[in-house]
Amino acid sequence: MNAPFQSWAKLITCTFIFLYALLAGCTSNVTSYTAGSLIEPESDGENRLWSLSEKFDEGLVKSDSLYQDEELEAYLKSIIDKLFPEFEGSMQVRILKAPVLNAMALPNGSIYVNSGLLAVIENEAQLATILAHEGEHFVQKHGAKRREYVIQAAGWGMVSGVLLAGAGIPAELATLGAISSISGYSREAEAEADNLGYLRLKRAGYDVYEAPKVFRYMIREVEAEEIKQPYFFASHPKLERRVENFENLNKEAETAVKQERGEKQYLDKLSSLRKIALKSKLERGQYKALIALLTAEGAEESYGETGAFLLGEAYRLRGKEGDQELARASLLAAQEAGLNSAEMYKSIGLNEYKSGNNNEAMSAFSRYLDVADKADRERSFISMYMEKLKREQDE
Amino acid sequence: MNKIYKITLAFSLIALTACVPNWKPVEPAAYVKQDGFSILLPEGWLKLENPNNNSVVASTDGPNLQSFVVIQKELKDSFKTTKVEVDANILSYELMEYFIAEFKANSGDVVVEVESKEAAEVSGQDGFRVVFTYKNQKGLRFKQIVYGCNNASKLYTLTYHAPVLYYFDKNVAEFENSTKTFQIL
Amino acid sequence: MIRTITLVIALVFIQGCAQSVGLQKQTSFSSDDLESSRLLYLDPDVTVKELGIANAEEVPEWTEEGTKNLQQQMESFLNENTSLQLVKSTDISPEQKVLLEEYLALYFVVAQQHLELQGPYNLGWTKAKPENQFSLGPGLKFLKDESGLDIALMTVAEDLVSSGGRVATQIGLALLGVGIPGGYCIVHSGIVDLETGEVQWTNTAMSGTHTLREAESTTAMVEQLFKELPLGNADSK
Repeated sequence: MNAPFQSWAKLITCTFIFLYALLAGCTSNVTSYTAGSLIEPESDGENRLWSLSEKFDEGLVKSDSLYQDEELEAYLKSIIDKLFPEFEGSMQVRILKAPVLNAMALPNGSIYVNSGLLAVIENEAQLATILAHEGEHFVQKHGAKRREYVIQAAGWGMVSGVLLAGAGIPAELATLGAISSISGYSREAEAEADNLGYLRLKRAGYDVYEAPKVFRYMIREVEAEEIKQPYFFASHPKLERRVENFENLNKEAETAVKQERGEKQYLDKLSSLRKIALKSKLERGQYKALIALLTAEGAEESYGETGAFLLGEAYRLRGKEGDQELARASLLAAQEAGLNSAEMYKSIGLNEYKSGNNNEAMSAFSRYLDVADKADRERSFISMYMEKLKREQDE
Repeated sequence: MNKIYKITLAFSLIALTACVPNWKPVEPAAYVKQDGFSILLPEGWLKLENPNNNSVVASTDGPNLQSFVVIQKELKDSFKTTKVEVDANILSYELMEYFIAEFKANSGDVVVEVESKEAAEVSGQDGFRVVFTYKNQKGLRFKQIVYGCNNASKLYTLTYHAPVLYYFDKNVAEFENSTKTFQIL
Repeated sequence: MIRTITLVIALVFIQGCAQSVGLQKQTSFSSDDLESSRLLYLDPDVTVKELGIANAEEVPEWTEEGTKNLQQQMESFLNENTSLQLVKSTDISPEQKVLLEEYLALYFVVAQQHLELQGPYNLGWTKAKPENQFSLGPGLKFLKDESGLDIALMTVAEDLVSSGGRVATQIGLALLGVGIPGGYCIVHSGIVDLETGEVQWTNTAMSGTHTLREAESTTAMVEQLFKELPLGNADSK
């Protein structure tokens, strides 16, 4: 590339990056509804998004990604309808089989909450915080607004990346311009959804002091799994800022009347799913996050003997110094709380085997073989270890 | 643009996307030897010629329809996503648990189910056999069998992967027979 | 998608028109076999997307348009040029419908695999296995039982149409000596034996310039698609 071209390219590119970054700072239009109305697509672009959303919905069903439970879905729907009474019937809430703490709203009113998130929160007020936030994305048509931005910004990013490379400017700078403008808009939308969602929570009679806890749980998981929170490119404001935002809103809130937390009905309805979701975290190797969750205040009461068992498993599999002892203690606690499952005996046996406590291992393995389903193929492992232990004993 | 330029551009684009695979028929009754292991592949299949001495890839209908893959990896580098450190004395059951965790953690949004888990002898030592199933977004079901074991420094896996409809059952017996010939050298 | 785009570029760039890649003809399958045959005609599964500057997005109206064009042109071509009698739709249960969709998804993988094995990505395959026999397996027998027919025609198509912005970007970048891929249209069609699942014939038409959004363009694709099919005499219907 020749020098005059490089100068020209640099000038134009920097100008456009600057303009895009500037645009990201503009306030968006907040659509407000005073009367009930059905949210519908109003342009070709929105039509496409709705159609894409419907295909996405169908794809999730076909690929078995949904946790399907009619009673649970009806419960979730009752909460979203309570939060958005003027849009009753416009949104549908489904559960995604995914251990990551996340939820999303599609432009067509489909809201998905990950099973991992449902396993970690403790009551209906915390769930309502999430649903209020996601519902506002739908009501404020953030998806449609974001689409236009993404198309323009991503396109520019591609073109300028090529130009910049020729102009001697690192391509990362162009990508920064494109991505930060996407993130800038999206960060605004997330903040708007938090603030408007908060108002919905309050209006529906939920305990607003539960709201910041949802993000504290996310922080706990991020720190436990050592996930770096990107700030500049994050589509969500940094988690700590969100906690701070809710706490500031709470300071201004007038909550003289006792607000609803809905702990009992939440734990009753979500009991099975929470266990499945925690087990799924274990199966995906999220040992640190599980340990952080199950050793937090109130966890013992919240998760019972299943929690103690899964904590024992997480220690066993994390395998750091001292973890064998911690695993032993948790598994014993599960046993004393009344758990009598084959899985638990297997876990005790494996932990003792690794620790070199052969007698205890044999005892636990024997118990496992008594209790486990005869058709369970995992018996083959335990039978093999029992043989080895017996041979060692005979020697 | 002239024809020569178009042809050159076309082939340059091909070259840029990936190394070009080269398939050759499996030699009957001949062990395929790599650095560290050997195996007898099913007769009538085709094997991918590749300069990588740590893996063997074979298929009989095309790798998208069924694939037989043997991989040898450094044990210490085998669990980068779940960040687990394992040593050579690991129990085969725990090796399997870590393998499943790593597999699921790397599967992204695809919901992977574990159909069965059992102990298996691989190259004469304690190993595991796991069966995974999943569906793609068009609703096509896939099944995958993985045999695994380790030695002092390496993790070995033998994988058979195919759509459930017709292709999985078609050649699974050949795969199972082949795994019995696998030897760590 | 990248490999498909590149394959299309490689195979059609030179001529810029529709190309087709045909399966090796089965020795037991000839024009006599199709003479006046009744064939279960399954609706084509079509997706039309707009390839923007940096992303591809399905356009529902375009998919509808493309589906209608392909259906019309296929039926018209087969009726006018072959002695095949097309029998449309058959009553199947919702569970069977789900299963049929899965078989269509399998056919897509089979057709795509066949395409890739013919192309430059898999050297040595067709030399080592010239008589590659594809099948969907015997699970489609329920369609035979319901329809009373022996064979079915399955069609799956994907059409990526470059947006104006994409074309402008292509031109702009080409001036700077950089090429980026444009859109493509790819149609797989195959005749499947409903008893055995054997894919008795399959072909793929692809083009970097045609689109299913236009009737004339679709006709060109359909002609390429079926030119390898042993046709039989339309007059003998």
